[in-house]
Amino acid sequence: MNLTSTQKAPNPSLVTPHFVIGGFSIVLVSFILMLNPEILIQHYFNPTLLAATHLLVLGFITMICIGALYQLIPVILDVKLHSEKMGWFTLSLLSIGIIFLVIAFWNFNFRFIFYLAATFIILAITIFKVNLILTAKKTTQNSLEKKFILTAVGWLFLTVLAGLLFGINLSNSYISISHLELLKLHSHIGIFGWFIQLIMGVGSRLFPMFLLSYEADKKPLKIAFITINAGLIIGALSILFSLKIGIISAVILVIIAVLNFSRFIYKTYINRAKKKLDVGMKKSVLAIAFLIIPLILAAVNLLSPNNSIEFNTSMALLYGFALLIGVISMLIMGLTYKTLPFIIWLKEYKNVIGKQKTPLPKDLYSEKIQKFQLLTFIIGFWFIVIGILFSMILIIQIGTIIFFVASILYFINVIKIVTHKTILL
Amino acid sequence: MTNIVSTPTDIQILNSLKSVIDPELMVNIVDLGMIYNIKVNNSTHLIEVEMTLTSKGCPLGDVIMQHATEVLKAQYPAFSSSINIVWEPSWNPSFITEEGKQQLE
Repeated sequence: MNLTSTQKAPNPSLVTPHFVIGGFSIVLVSFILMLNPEILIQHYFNPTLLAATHLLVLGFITMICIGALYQLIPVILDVKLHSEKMGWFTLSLLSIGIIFLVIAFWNFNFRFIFYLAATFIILAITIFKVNLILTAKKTTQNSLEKKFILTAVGWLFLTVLAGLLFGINLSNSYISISHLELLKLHSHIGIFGWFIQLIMGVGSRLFPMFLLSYEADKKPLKIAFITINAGLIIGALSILFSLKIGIISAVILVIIAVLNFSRFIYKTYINRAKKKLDVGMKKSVLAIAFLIIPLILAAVNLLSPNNSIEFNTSMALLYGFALLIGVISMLIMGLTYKTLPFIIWLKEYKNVIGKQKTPLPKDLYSEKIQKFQLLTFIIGFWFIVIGILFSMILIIQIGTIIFFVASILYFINVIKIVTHKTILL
Repeated sequence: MTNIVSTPTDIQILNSLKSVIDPELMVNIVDLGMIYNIKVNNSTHLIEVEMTLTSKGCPLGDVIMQHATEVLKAQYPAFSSSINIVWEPSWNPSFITEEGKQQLE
């Protein structure tokens, strides 16, 4: 018998902890930034910022991406997740690994605790990767979404491996390339190979679905898939072999990929039948529009390479902040409202739908909190961006306080959704 | 005495199905253009509905079908119902009625 997506969905008890851990992590990240605003004007290679960044990218972004993928696999690939047990192993190992990793960075300790963290994280990601490959094997379809997702998971695996090698190199220097160049390699394959590529794969399916827009030509997505991966491979090799021209080519290829993906989303957006957007969708569309900021920063950096170290450092910080917070975190927060309430709503009400009057998925969280969260998030983001740009600590401090409020509001709504208990009207 | 059961018309059934709302889009499935065909068999007392979903793999497909079944059961207790999901023709926004479009704006 052909199962429907609802029947193929994993047990909500596997998916929801990812959102709770993710929500708690972003609160911790914003708390660290609020207490240490000066780290946003120092060089980015400092222990506190490295700890906060890894908590953000692994504890918040990757954690929610993994949880959401378990839920979205039946929607995108039309198959059931291969193993929920493997999902539980990934969740447990990754959570423990993140705690050790943050402690290691906080203390700038690249010995025992770092290796322990790396072991847990690599194991977690390996299990996740195998689980997804075995899941993908169940389907004969060879869609672009499937290629994006599997390639993204491949880059995630390479990112954590590169992170381990980088960490080993910090304590026992064995590679002649500078730490900052290695950091560029590690962060770019993580950001563009894993996050942005995953966003492209999942977004190319979800945006048309939520906006009721199926007119957009998929050719830009094909170009995006080829150019982003070509750019990442050329970029990684060029960093390893110090080839300046290769790095420039890689940046251009990645920019072409992002522009093509943005073009697809733009076409989807203007052809949408659903004109009125909810807050979750507004946030997601805005996040894609914000992609222009890091692109401009990358182009500026590429075209004016002979600036002062201070200027280059603040540009690099701004670039990372705009990508990780302005684009990826905002998109994750937006899409949380398009996944989590439905997961809980189905769990609580699927047996009584049509028999009794029930609340709607949007009734599971506070829309007021959601709107205020979007507002504080955007204000906090721009305060921090301006603060970094002009090295103004007071502006950064105000921005981080507002950003902390936004993170708390997000977490409150996540908790409100996951603790929802059946109400029959 | 013979028990006379009045046969529901397609229009009546469509009107009944208007109470089934897509929980994500907040528009009923009739105005979304998801109902393709309705057959009422008087001799077997069966209502057959052919419908589609706005996308393959729609995570809410099950609950929408369940809701439609419950509505038909409640409105036409003398009839049993069968809801079949079909993918041809594949749904596109041009199937949305004017009323549906207004609700999406």
